[in-house]
Amino acid sequence: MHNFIFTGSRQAVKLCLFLFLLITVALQKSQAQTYSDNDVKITEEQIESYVANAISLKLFDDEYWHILLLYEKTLTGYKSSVETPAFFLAHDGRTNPKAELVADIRAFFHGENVKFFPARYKWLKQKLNIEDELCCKEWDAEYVAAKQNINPSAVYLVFPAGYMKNPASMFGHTFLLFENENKPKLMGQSVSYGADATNPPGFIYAVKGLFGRYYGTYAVDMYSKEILKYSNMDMRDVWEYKLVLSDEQLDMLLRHTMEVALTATRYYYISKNCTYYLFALLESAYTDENLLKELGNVAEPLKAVKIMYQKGLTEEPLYRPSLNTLINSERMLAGNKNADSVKKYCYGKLSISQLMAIVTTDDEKTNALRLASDYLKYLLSNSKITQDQYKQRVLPVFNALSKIKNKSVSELISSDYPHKSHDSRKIALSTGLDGNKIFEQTYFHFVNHSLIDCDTGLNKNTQLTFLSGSISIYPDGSNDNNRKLRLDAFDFANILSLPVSDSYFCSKAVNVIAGIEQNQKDAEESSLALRLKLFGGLSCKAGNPNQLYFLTGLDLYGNPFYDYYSDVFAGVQTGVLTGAGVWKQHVNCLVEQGIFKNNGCTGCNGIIGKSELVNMNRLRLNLSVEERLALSRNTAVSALYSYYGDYKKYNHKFCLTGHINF
Amino acid sequence: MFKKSVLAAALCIGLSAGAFAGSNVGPGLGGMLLGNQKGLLSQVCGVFLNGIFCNQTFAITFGTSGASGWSGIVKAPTEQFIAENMDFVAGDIAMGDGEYLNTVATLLNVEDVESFKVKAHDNFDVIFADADVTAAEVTEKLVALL
Repeated sequence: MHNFIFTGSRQAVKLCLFLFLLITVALQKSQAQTYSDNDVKITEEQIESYVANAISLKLFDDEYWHILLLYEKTLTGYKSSVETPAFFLAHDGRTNPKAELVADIRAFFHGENVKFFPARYKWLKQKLNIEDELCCKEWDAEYVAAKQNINPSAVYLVFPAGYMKNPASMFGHTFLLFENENKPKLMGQSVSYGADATNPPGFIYAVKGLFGRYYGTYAVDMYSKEILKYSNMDMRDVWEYKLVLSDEQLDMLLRHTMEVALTATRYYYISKNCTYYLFALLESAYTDENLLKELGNVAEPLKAVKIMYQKGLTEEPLYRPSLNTLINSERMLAGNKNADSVKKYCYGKLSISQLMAIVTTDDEKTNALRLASDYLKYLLSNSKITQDQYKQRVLPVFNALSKIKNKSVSELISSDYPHKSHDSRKIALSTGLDGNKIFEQTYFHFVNHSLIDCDTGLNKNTQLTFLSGSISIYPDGSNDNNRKLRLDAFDFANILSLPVSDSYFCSKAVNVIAGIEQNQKDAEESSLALRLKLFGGLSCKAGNPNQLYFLTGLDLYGNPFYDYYSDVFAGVQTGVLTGAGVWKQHVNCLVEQGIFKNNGCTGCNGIIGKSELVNMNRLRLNLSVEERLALSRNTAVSALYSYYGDYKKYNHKFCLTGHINF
Repeated sequence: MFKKSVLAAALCIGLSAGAFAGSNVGPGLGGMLLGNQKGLLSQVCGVFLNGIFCNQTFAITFGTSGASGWSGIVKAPTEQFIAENMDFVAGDIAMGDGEYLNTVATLLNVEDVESFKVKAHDNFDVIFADADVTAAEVTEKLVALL
């Protein structure tokens, strides 16, 4: 079934389709021949009576039939998300649920294809009350054999947390794990949906993914490999939510999973992604829960986790810390001196005997050696050391560890559950003083998390908002242009990633803003312009819980009325984030120097000279202090003071804000 | 979210192999996999297992050794599991406990798991005699402990 995978060129896809059709025709013939010998006695009249019964019962309109075939309502009828031709037995089955129903019943009774659609077969058999004597045991035998092999005792919804370094993974991921009753969990089978994209650059992936330019397929793999990928290489914490399933639900979920596991569907980054197609599987088990409907048009993995948990469809989650989390935990236990020694060993600056001489007690040694083995893994996976260096350094660590008699290790636990995070959409209402003018402001974002929001269950000190904006109302006219109503900004994306760098880790901090925002034209007036802000830098801890960051880069504004169509700034941004419990503070300082004498609208254009630099005419400044108090999971209040301006005109601004996530 | 090319290649290999394996395979989805009397999921997994190059040492789990996959060498599940997770199995044996060591014990059908773990721990330097030890050698030495 080569056409399930669409990784190559279009020509390759066509070739695969052609081969698939050839194989399909050939195998259909052999199939029909095989079943002509079975012992089931059923006449064509009986088959047609079942067809008539199915039509009279309107099974083609049944919600479950639509779930099994992934039908979606369109303006003119229905269309399945599945684009694999072999998924349908009627030639127009993709858009005609009734024709597909009829074709399936007829085909099944003739023994054609029936064993490849165990979910459809079981459901139709139940709905049409088809007696066992009329069904050949072989029709379901292979599913039964498959189920015995998989022997699922439990199914987990697995959630690897968001990964800010990869646009495809910023919102996290979800997949299913079928745990085998007689095997350890690591040997379970994971079923994961994703785009068939061969590691394109992040930007290309995001754009093509947004517009459905990839096919998506399910991948089946051993769970240990998923752990290796997410927990150890991507360094993402993994949460395992055990699903509450009856035997019947589990059976239908497995049957449906097998039916669709090798189909190709169109992948959309926001709406039809891993989480959407995971819910499409789960709907076969939780028919009455309307999971896809509740998920909405923005299929966020985290939202899926919350829906499942809040509906009581999962148990309390199990936590699997990432390699990064383990290293940080072991470093804290080791203390600075021992952690530094471990680092020196990992970089080959100390021998194992020298390291063992520095750490004294068995507990210290155990922790230091575990830290060394984990940090060596990190260094290797990030190409900081060679494989030979790794091998020569990791074996002495394990050897030394095995010699320690009394090893006590406490399991790392976390109560920072993803399902406790705030909801994704947000509206914030502010009121305050801008200069000497009263103003009110409404802010919104559709997804996902602002920097000042409570980050329980989320990556700490990050911002990941898409489709955000704000509108201000100035009853007495604004400070610029005396407008009463002003669109301040509408951003497509506003991303701030501040991974902590220290002596062990060095990670880039990034701030990217893309959208439309107000840009000061001169001292009195501002206008909307396209904005692209690209800042990079570093972030570090300055005593827990204080986190500093320092960023620098370019801030570009574009407008066709500017002389150079652009207003370009080079800037630096620094700040401190700190928080304790429900409190969070953010102090921010952004200083930008305009490249042009002004934005080019009013004559005096050109690159700035010494005089403009000296008189600071194009020095843009924004100093702010914000304090937030979380009231509940989804509500908070904050107070903000800022001092900002451009063209040597600076204002004080103060406002109070109420935040509601929903 | 997106899968690596090797993943797609693995599925392609698996699908191709399965498509021609069964004698009564039909055109339905997954038919080529169900067609030779094995479960879809387990067989897709089998594709991965069969394709793994097992003569691996430390660090292969992070994909930096340059060893090519899909060599078609079929090894026992224990050896394959150790090959994929050598570093973690070694870490657990050095500690005398852990999820990876428990998995190995299950794969070897060990009856007295606690005793096996103690033996493995006490014989760490025998099992992992040098940094170039292979999964096959580790498996043999673990089996010898039973």
